[in-house]
Amino acid sequence: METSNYMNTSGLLENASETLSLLVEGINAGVWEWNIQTGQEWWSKRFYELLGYDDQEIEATNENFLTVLLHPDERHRISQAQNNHIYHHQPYKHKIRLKHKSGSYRWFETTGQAKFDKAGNPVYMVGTAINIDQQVRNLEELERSRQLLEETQTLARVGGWEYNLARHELNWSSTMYDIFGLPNGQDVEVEEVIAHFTPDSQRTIREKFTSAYDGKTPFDLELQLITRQQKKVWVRVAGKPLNDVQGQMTGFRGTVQDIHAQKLREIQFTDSLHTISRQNNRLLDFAFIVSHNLRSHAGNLEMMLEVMKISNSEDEKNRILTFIEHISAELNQTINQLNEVIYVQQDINPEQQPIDFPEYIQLTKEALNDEIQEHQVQIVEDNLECTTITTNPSFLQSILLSLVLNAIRYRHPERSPVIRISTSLTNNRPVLTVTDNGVGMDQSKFETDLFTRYETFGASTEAKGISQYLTKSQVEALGVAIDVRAIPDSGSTYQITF
Amino acid sequence: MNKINTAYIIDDSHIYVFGLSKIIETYKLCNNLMVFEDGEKAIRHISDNLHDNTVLPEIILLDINMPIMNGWDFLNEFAKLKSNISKNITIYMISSSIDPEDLERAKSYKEVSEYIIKPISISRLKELLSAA
Repeated sequence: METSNYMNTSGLLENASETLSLLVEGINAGVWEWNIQTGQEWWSKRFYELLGYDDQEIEATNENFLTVLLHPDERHRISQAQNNHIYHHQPYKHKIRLKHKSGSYRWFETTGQAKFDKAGNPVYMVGTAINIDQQVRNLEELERSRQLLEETQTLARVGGWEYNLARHELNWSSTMYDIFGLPNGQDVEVEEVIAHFTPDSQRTIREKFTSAYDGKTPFDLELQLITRQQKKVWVRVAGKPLNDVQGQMTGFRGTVQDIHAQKLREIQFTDSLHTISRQNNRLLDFAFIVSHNLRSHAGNLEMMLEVMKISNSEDEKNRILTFIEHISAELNQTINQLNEVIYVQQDINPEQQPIDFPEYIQLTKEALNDEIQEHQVQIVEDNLECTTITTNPSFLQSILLSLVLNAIRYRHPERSPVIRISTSLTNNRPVLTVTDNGVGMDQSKFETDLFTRYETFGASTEAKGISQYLTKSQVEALGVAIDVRAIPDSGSTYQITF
Repeated sequence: MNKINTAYIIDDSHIYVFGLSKIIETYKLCNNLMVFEDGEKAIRHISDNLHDNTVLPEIILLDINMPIMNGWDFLNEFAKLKSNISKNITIYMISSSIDPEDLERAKSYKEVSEYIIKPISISRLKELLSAA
């Protein structure tokens, strides 16, 4: 063999036979030739090599090919195929298993072409066998993985999806269809899929997907979808951007997992935790209130008894007795109010009834007559668009008392208090608005002062603290919303939505 | 031991104030006892007599829960006036609240010497009014 011949085209044509034998030796395929008349064959060195044999180690015959090398299961199919090729001119290209010298079978692809004489009878056939074992095994492995993935997805209720940005194409695994309650394999469009979510979730999807798209970042969301069967299901939708070789984002790939059962448990758990901690706080508040109120009465009682001992006038002793009677009455009242607190704690929906609002403003004025006189308070009834409010009567009374007392308490030093009361209907809910011209107490102070435990408003008894606590509990129990706006030096506005 | 000249009681409970005054008078724990039923009245009295050390008290017994101006508000106002006062004034907070929040809050005021939970005994009162 001369290199120069190999290198130029004219040489290749001139030495066709030598070139052919080089090709046969160099190609990574076994070459075979079958003399159809005699049944004798010729197998290339590489053919033997691919099956683990030395050159010529077994006799090359069609008989040996079919009985020694070929997998028994394929014998019938392949001899049929040989016949179909040489007698009916059908193409010959088949995947076959051939036995390696070690005893194991390997996958090959064999192709061949017969040569026919002028009468159309087959004379001989030439062909190749290529080792495709790795390919077949890869395909098998791929199929196995695919099936495993499918089964896992079905079991875990996780679906996979892929979205191609350029083609606007969405691909789903079969579990996706299960989760959405849609027929398997149906074409899916992005907008149609988004429409399957609740309005809140739709907003979240659009917002988060836009930012994931802009920032080329992954996302992970908990959303609520509505299946075709109108069932609301909590799902976890996760995705991450896909990039091409150039690093350009081409789309997103991700999962949708049915987390309905977990989510319901989580919500239930959070709710219980919330209830427990709320109850706990109330219990603590209650303990402080009980301690505070009972303690102050007990302390006063003890003190009166001490004073009784050191007193030397009959008049004074009589006065002390009156005080003791007073303490006893207050103690009794405190215990009754504590019972009321417990009542509110137990009854989440304290009795509500329609209340004539102007009547309650009048009641408040009467109750606070002394304070109103002392501080020259003006209570102005503005537009009472809503004269009847359905709520708990004692709640309405205590909130009116609190707000008026608050206006007195935080009055401006340079002007006498003016309190404007009006009602309106907003979104079909009655709204009570109380505006004062005081110092403009800020909201944080409002929260700590107006509804905090055992505050005492007015020159009244310690037991007032309990009614404040009652108010706070009632606000919670009635589902009422309170909104405060304070403008320093010009006053505060309270809006209570019933 | 110097006898206290002036003490303030700032408290809205008539019964408590009556008892406390009676004990202080009986045991002659101070010469001059002044009672205010809310913090605002006491602040007004202090600011009217900022430089008159014979009128200003040595001791203030301060309640927390009062109308108009409660104990905390009083302390805030008092802190503003303090730099104008040359007299050393000791403040005891006396309340029936056992809420740890109130105790912590009282500690945060350097004007408050001690937080005392009601009821206060005669011997404890004697101690407080003689220590100043």
